[in-house]
Amino acid sequence: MKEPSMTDDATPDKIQTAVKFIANVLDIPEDQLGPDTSMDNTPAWDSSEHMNICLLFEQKFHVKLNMDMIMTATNVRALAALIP
Amino acid sequence: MIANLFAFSSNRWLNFADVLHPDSLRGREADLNAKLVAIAKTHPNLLLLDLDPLFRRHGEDALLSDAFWYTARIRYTARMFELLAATIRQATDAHAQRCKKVLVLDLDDTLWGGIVGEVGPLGVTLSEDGNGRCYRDFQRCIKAAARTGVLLTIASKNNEADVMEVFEQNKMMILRREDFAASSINWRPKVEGIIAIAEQLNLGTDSFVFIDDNPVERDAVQKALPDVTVPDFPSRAEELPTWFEQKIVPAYFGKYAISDEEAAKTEQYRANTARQQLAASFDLEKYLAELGIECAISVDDADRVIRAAQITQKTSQFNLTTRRYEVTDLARFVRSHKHAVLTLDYRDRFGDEGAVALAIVDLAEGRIDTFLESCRVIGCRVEDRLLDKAIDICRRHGHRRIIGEYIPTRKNQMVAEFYDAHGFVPLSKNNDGRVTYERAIDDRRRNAR
Repeated sequence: MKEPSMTDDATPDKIQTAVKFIANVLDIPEDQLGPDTSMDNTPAWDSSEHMNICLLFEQKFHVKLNMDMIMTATNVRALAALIP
Repeated sequence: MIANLFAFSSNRWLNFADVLHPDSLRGREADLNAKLVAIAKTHPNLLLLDLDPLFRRHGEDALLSDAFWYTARIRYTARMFELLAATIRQATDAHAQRCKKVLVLDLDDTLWGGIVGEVGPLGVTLSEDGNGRCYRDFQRCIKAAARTGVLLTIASKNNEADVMEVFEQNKMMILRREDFAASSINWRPKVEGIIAIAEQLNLGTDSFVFIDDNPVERDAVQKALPDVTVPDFPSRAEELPTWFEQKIVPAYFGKYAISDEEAAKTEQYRANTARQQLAASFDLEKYLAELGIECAISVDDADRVIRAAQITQKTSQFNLTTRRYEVTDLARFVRSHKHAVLTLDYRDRFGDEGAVALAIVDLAEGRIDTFLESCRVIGCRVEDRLLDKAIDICRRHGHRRIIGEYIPTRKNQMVAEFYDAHGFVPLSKNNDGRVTYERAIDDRRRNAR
């Protein structure tokens, strides 16, 4: 499994993919999510759900997340940037 | 209550010294697990789970995560949680004895490679060396399952005598006749055989697992008997043992504890010979309609002579005259105005089988010289279309009757009454069993034109 770079920019495609993924994990409608949706402004996205998101993210996108990524990828834009 | 055995990570502080050192991690793991096993032996409600096979199969790197461990004390990856859930479900099913009971096995290209009716009892692919080892090891796996109480049965389209020869003569067979609690070896639809086995063993078909390399057979059984479990079959022979051990046994025949009675189960069922009436509700016509069979018959196609010669050489069961021809013979028939070579191409929704049936018609005599069909499509009734075409060609050549022959061999008794069933009347019968038939050709079609 390759480690994704944290400096990659999130393209609109990747944002859309990340929105779909988060909506699915948190079970909330896609149209309520955007690039700036984050742990801070989304009650359903708590610290325990965040672990769920990260675990499933690894499996779905075949990447291995490091600790920094797990700690900082707490919004849609940051997660989208980790999609290979 | 479920507990897993200790499965320490591969990190070893003592490195190579871990093998012999008194503080060996590997030794600690073994001691702790021995204690757990001792507890479980006196506490039947404690279900012990060994996770070691998961780590060996999928690898620690894929199943453990240091990043999640140090972030949130989560040891496993999502992949591991998925595998763990599946394993716990299988183990609890095994503990509650919710397993299947009966394994229904096909023979040709399943328990051995090749078609016994074509290659004979010693010609099948089954050996200790070479490719045959795949099938021999597969048989070993099945035998091991039988020792845990799985009832083995056979559902095979074959002449029973051919199959018995394999059991009697082929020394490479791991499975013996007496390993099977019941069997259905004939040319009837397998659904009927499975129903007969169920009634003979007095077990519901919901406890049956059907293993067959042929997707058409699997689909027929699944459609007619939806409560029978019909797993996919590996595409390659070398995958058979691992497929059976990793996919089939834990999913359907998992046992948590094996009693002494389990191994004797087959004998017990064999003794129960109370065979009841078939309650077959299988509708063959409906099934064939759903198969979406498409046939194309080509006449005197020079591109097909190699395949046509090949099937005259290989086909022994559905073969009325068993005349073996070389490619040069077929090329001559194709060129000649005195012969017509009819090849039937078959496809259904499972795929394209290519040329599967052949008729060679002597146009001078109005006689069917050769009529055969590959065993892959036996039961699909496509031979009727080929016969119709042969009759049509004779009609066009001005014949008012068509001659057919049946030449008996050791292999072709399944078509002994083929012409009788298709409106032919016997003209003569030789001492060697050869029968000559005749059927009148009506000229209805010619008049219609």
